[in-house]
Amino acid sequence: MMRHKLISSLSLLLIFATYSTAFAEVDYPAVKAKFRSISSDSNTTKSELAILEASLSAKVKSPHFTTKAHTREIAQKISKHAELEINRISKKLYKFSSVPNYKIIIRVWTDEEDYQKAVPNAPETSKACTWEYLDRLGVSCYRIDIVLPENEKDIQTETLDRVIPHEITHILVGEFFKINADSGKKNVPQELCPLALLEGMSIIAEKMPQDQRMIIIGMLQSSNPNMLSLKQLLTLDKYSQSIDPAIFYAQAYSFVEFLRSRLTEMQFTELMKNMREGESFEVALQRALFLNSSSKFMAQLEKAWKDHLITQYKIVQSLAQNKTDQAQAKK
Amino acid sequence: MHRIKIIAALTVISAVGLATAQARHKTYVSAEALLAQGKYEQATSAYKKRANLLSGTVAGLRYAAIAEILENHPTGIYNLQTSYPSGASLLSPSSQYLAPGEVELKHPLAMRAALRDLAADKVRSARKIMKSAELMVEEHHEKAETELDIVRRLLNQANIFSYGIASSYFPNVAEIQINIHRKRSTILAQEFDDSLNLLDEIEPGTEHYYEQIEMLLEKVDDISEELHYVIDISKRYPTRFETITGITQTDLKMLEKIRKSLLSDMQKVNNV
Repeated sequence: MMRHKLISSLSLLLIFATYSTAFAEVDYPAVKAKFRSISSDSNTTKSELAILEASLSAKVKSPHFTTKAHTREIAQKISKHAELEINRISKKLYKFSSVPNYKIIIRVWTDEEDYQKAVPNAPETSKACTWEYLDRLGVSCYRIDIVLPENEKDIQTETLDRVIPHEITHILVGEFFKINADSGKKNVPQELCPLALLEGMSIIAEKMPQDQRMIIIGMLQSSNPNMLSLKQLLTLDKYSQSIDPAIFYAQAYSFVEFLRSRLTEMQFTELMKNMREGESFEVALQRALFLNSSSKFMAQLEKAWKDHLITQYKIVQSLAQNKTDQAQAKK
Repeated sequence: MHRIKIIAALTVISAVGLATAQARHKTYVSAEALLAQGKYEQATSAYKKRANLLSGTVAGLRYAAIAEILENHPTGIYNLQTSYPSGASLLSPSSQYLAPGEVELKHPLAMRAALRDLAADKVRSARKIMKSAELMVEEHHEKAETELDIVRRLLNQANIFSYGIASSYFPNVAEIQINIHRKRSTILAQEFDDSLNLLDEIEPGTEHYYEQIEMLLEKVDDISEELHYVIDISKRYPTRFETITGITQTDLKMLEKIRKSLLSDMQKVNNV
C-alpha cells in the first residue's frame, strides 16, 4: 500500500496563506524600487567607507535624526530643518503617514565624489538617496545621503526645501506601507504603492514651486509625443525602463496633485490604507470613494486627470506670461 | 363548461394580480411624490406600505431602508457623508453633484445619496468583520465561517442600497473562504496521517485493518470535498485564484491516486 503522508503533500496549500495577496487581480501592479538595499558589490572597500564615514566628523542628534556632516554648522542646520519638515509632513501634509520610532541617519556630503563612493548604488545623476537597511543588530533603519550642490556650500533652498522634504516623505510613506495595521504582518512597501504615487507625494512635499513640472506636462499634453498613459505611469519602475525621468517625475507630480485636489483628506487616506491592504490602485481608489466597481473607471480617471492638467497648465502659462509682461513693462 | 369556469377563474386571478400591481404602482408613485413635495411623514408611511407589499424582495428591502432613513430624519434634513454621485468630485467636478453636508431629502439626488451612505456604512461594518474573520481562520475557522456569513449579508445589503458598491469585496471574501477550506483540509490531512501511522500497528487482513482503511478512505473523501470547494470558489475569480486552482487540482489528482491505492489494499483484505 502506498504510504503517502498527506500533510507533507498538501503543504503546497500553505503557500496560499503567505502569498495570497500576490494572486490579487492587479491590473496596475505596484512596482517600486526606491528603498534599495545597500549592496556589498561596490568598488569602495570597507576601510574606504570607514574613512569616508569618519570624515563626517560633526554629528548632531535631534528627536528623529542623527545628522552627520563635515561641519557642525551644516549638521545643525540640516538637523533643525529636517525636524521641522518631518513634523510638517507627518502632522499636516500626510497625516496617514508613519514616523519611524528610531532615528533616521542623515549624511551630508559636500564632495560629489565622496557621495558617489559612499553611496555606491546611487544613480550617477542623483543628489540624494534614501536607503533602508539593517543595522548590526538586525534592526531596520533608514539613511538619507545628500550631496550639497556645488553652488550651495552654505545650504540654501534647494537642499532645505526640496531635497529634505522629498526624502523624508519617502521614509514616512514607506513606513506607513511597511506594516499591515490589522494583521501586523510586514509588507514590502514597493510592492504595494506605485512608484509614481510615492514620487508624486514626495514632490508635493517639496516647498518649491512646481511650475516647471507643470509646463513640461502641459507641453507634452498639447503635442502628445511621450506622455505616459495612466497605466504606464502606475506600473513604471524607473530603474528598469528607459523613460525620461523628467517626464516621469512631472507626470507623477501632476497625477498626485490631481488626486489631492479632488479627494478629501479622508478619501486620500482611505486610498492609501486600501493599497496597504494589498489592493491595486484601481480597486483601492474605487473603494475609497464607495464607487460601484466599473471597468471604465481607469479610463474615466485618466480623462479627468488630463483635463485637469490642461487647465492647470493654462493657469501656469498665463501666470508666466503675466510675469514676463510685467518684467517687460518695468524695462 | 368546465373550461369556461377555469377561464373565468383565471380572469379573476389576473384581475387580482392587476389590482395588486396597480396598488403597488400607486403606492410607489405617491411615495415618490410625497417625498418630492417634502411631506416626509406621509412619505414615510407610503414607503413603509410599499415595503410591506414587496416584503421579502430586493425592492422591498430598499423601500424599507428608505422608510427608515425618513423615519430617522423627520425634518428631511440629512447630513451627507461624502459627495454624490460618488466619484463625481473626482471624475467630473463641473457636473452637478451633491456636496457633503446638509441636504434636504426631497432633492432628487438626496435619497439615493442617503442610501449610498447607508450602503457605505454596511461596507464599513463588513470590512471590519472580514478583517476579524481573516485573523480567525487559523485558530477558529468555524467561527470565521460564521463571521463570513455576516459579511456576505452586509455586502449584499450594501449592493441592494447602492448597486455594485460592495462588489469588489467579494473576491476578498472568497479568499478567506478558500483559506478556511484549506485549513480544514490541512486538519483532515493531519488526521489521515495519524490514522496511517496506526495502520502500521494493525495486522493486515484483520477486520480492524479493514475498518482502518475504510476510515482512511473517508478522510480522503473529506479532504477532496474541501478541495472541491476551493476549486468551486476559485472558479468565480479565475485570474485572481489561478495559482491556487492549479495547486488544488494537483492535490486532488494525488488524492485520487491515494484513494485507488487504498481501494486496492481493501480489495486485498477482502481477498484474504
